[in-house]
Amino acid sequence: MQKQTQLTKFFSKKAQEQQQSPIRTKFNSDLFFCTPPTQEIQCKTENYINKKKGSNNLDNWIRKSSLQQKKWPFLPKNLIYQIYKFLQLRECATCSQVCKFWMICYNDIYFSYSFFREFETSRFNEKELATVLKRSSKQLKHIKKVREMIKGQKISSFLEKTELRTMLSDNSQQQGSLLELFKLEPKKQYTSVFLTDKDLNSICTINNIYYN
Amino acid sequence: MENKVKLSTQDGVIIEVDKEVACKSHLINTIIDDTGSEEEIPLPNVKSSILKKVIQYCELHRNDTPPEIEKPLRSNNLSDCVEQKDAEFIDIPNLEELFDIILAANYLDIKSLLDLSCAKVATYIKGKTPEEIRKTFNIQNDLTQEEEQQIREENKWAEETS
Repeated sequence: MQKQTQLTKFFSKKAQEQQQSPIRTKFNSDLFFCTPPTQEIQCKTENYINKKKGSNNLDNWIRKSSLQQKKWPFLPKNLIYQIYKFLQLRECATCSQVCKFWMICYNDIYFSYSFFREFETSRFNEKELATVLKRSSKQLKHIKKVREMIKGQKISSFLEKTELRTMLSDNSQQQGSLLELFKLEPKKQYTSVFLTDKDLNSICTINNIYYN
Repeated sequence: MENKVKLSTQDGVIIEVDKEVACKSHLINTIIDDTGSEEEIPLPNVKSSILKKVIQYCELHRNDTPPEIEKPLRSNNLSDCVEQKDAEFIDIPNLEELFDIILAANYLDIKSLLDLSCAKVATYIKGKTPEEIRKTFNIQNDLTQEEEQQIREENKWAEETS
């Protein structure tokens, strides 16, 4: 019984914390899904309420009821990432034009180890890969290594001949160390992968490598 | 009785489930490991209607582990990307319910359900313009014209490749 009390306390505290967290704050019932509570948004809320007061009651009622039917709960950033993972990078780029919050989420994926934990070059076309290498290589060490490996080659010819996969261990961020797995293989019609000794050294000094 | 667990939801409903099914949730599995399965497990972040849906999913996969969903999705018809039973399960017309399932799967730590529900949302986004996405999800455009212009400039490469 004592255990249950402790558990109940723990969970009710956790739920309370989550409700208080700015990310999860829900606004006025007329406002929509997904924007974090900034001062600017609060001003917008007030303006919206003021505007509403001046307009026709019936219009308000219709508007309110149709909005409430469609109203969505808020999804935190890590879950937006989860959705973005199922989209191609150019589709994520389209999402960035939807609203501020989605734009922030899109920009942040380039700095996210969890988003690029499993990185496969075959997922990207030439322009997508160039964008990822350009934007992520400063922050993400494994992407930096991929960039160094491709350096000196045309991205299109690299993609044509090679498949490169890197994967980070699950808890690499918490542990403060990066355990990376690199897998490089030639595409079917090719027999070898172009890789210099320098490239190999840069991967092998601190990482495990699985090389076909 | 030993093979059953009691789960208490946000709205005060107590649901009795097979331990094996409930343990598909890593959160519940950890709690049972720590405290045993005798006592009621409080799930204050999950509504009973959503928990029932989650349990339905766990029942579907009582004897198997669903295969990983391919990323990115190759089609916006989910039946092409997942097993038929999963596609039917997640075919929920109510978007709010779908979001609640995502939140519940994340909270209960059921990765395969989280992936499935997020993939479903992704199918609503795939191939749509920003305006169409806003309409689908009823999102207000809070970007200024300058910001929109700037994003469009930055994302020119994406338009060229599509």
